[in-house]
Amino acid sequence: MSKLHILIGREFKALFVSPVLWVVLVMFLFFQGFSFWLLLNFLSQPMAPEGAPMQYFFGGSMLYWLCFHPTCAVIPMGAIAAERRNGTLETLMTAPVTDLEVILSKFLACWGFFGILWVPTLAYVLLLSQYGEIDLGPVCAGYLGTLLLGGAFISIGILTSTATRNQIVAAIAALGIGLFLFLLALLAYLPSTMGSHEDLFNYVSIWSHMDDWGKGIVDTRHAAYPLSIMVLSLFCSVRLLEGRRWR
Amino acid sequence: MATAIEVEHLTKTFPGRVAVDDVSFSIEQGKIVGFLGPNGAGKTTTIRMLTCFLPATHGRAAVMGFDVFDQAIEVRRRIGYLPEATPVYPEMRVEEYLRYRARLKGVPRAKVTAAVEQAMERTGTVEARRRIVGHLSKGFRQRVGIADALVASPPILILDEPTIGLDPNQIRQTRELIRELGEDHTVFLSTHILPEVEQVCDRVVIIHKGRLSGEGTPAELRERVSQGVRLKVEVRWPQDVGRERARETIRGELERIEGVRAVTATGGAPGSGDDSYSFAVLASSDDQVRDRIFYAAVEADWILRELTVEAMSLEEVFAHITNAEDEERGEDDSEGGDGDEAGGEGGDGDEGKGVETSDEGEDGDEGGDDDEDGDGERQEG
Repeated sequence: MSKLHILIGREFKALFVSPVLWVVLVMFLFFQGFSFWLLLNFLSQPMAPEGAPMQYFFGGSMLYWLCFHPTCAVIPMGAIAAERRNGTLETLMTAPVTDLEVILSKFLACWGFFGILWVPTLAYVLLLSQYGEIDLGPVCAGYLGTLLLGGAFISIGILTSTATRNQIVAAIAALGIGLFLFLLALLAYLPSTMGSHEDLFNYVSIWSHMDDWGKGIVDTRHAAYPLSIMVLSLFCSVRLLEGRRWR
Repeated sequence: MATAIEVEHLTKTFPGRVAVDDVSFSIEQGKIVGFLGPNGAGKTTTIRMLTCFLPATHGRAAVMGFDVFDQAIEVRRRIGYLPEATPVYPEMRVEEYLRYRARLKGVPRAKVTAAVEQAMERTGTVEARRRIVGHLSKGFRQRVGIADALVASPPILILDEPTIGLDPNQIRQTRELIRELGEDHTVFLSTHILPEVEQVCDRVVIIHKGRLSGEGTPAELRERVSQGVRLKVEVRWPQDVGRERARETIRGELERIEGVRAVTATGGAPGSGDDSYSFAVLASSDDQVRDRIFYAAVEADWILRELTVEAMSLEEVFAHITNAEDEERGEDDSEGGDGDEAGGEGGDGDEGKGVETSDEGEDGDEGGDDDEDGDGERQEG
């Protein structure tokens, strides 16, 4: 693991000079701002339901997911796929580094980038605190949940990026898997499945997880879910990177 | 001398083709060894197995005594590798890239600057230190690749086609650099350019269609295949029978001499006059052949003006070896680009077994296609 910080450093720099990710960054901020503005307007109506704006901001609305899934799919799409396409994977993998170090560094750099995307949204918290009391607990839980779920979906993106040499394919596949996990929640509401597997569907649905995080419920179950996705995806990615050599 | 690289029965098969077929050789430390073969012979695949990028299907390889499969990290610590297409992160600056690579290869923090400076100086990239790699010319990128290979001063340098795509000046510089590097490194370089081998290498390993077809010093190889010698014979025979007939007569006489295999008439040396005739004689390496030619000349009353042994160029050696093997195996070797060659798709299909002999003419297989031959990883095309 001695090389990890060197690898992460390079990955991180590479992300910040990538034009694609600057587009992501701009779009992300635009949509988050738009969604925050919509939420505030919505909640200012006399008929509005009760609740803190930030609770709705984190997973409480479709807008959150509209932003969340594409960013998680796009950030890691080039991680291994681009290296493979450019041939730099050969230079990288013939240096004294392990497969695990490579995958972990890619993942951590992408995750870090994802975290940085959210930093500007702290301004909303600041803004709200100027006009009223803010319960910081749910806000922190919201950020924590977002980070953990983001990590889970980015690890899926790393996996798809390891499986192909085409970044676009990697991004689309990651988006597909992400949306599938997201939509599993709906199965819980089908009459035919209601009752029998409700718990299961609720457990695998990130929707219900994020709902709780947004309300400020910090439950180990909600943390175990994304963490287990991360471990599983990264494990598979390492195997895949190793396995590439067996074919 | 200890062994730097040892390869035993190394075999690599890809679905539908054998890229490297039971290759064994070993390389001593401190030598510059040329790995020679036409495009698609399996050079890159072999090198990728040596650098732990691809696993062998059968056989084993060891670098400085470490197995490339079981002790991959130890092996990678000891090699500096320049891949064929010189893949370098395009967004980084030269110095920044070399610093990153030096640290990645375990150069201690305090020594990184010195190591990078030295590598840049040796490869002549100092002036480009602040430039972005993606904006560099092919020649400069190649030099950055070489700088990367030697930045951690590994005992072994493995260079895959180091002069490909360079202009003649750069080629000369690169060869000089390689010769210099040979003083304190073991250098294993692959090439399909013969003069390169003749100029820089102490030893040659020849590979053709995935099989080892020769190993030794350039001189040894020449010896091995020239189970014959080529003689240059010029005689003067002032006769009044007409030039054509005289030449035919002499040719006939020469062919009758024991040990002579073939005689071809060639143009005479400038200023040798009307009654001079030149021949290229292919004879067995029997020491007496030249004597017999001399006596034959005396007997026939020819004036022997020249009788010299011509050394075979490595080029001819190569053509000889590869052709002989193709005949042995009864394969038709008419054109390259067939499926069983490791060089793969596109780019070099027109090369056939064309070993290039010129210094400058190496084009044709740079670019992305090289990357494809090894990995077999085109899931989505």
